[in-house]
Amino acid sequence: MFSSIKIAMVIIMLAGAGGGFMYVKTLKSDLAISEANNAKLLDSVAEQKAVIEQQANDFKAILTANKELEEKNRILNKEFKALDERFNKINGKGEVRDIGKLAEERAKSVERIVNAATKKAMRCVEIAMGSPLTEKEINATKKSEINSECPSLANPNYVPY
Amino acid sequence: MSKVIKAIAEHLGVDESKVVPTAHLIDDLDADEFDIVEMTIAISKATGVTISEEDEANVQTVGDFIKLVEKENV
Repeated sequence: MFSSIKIAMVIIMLAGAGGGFMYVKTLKSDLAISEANNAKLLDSVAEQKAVIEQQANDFKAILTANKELEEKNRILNKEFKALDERFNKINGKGEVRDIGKLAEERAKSVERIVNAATKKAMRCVEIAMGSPLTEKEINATKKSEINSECPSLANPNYVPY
Repeated sequence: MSKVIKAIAEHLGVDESKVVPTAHLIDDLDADEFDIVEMTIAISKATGVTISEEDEANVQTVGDFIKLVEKENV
């Protein structure tokens, strides 16, 4: 009777040890999986951080580009207005410019101005298509030196407005 | 000389004190090419001197207009 209790206790202890062993084995396995998952998560966090950083940089770049575009648009609008005003300029006496009348009175002068402006406009097209600027164009800082048809394209050092 | 200065000042709507012989019409007085043609007509009317279109093409400063008028008056 006493020996069968011993046997039963040994069996129970062995079963407990076996259960404990299995429990520890499972724990170790779970731990290894958790560690692997943790490593993956850390990698993922690092990747996410990099993505967020890249997005922040992209956003900054977009803001800068937008600012530059707004500035270019402002200058182009000014240039357009200046070109428009050239044909409708009001002088100090309040008289509106009449190119037709002027062409009748001083045909050669108007022809010379129009020809010069046409030449300048063609140069603007060349520059817009990728032609490099000349030294003269780069160094132009005075109104009389610039290409008045497209100063923002042709004369980077001219500050008109 | 005063008639030339007055005509230029009136046309450009600037103070006569700024219209000095050394003043560049485009760079200093903010004129454009058509202004120079219009000023030539105004100066011709004011002084009675005819300025040719060839001479006008070389005008850059107030002094250039004065010289052209004085040349014709001599």
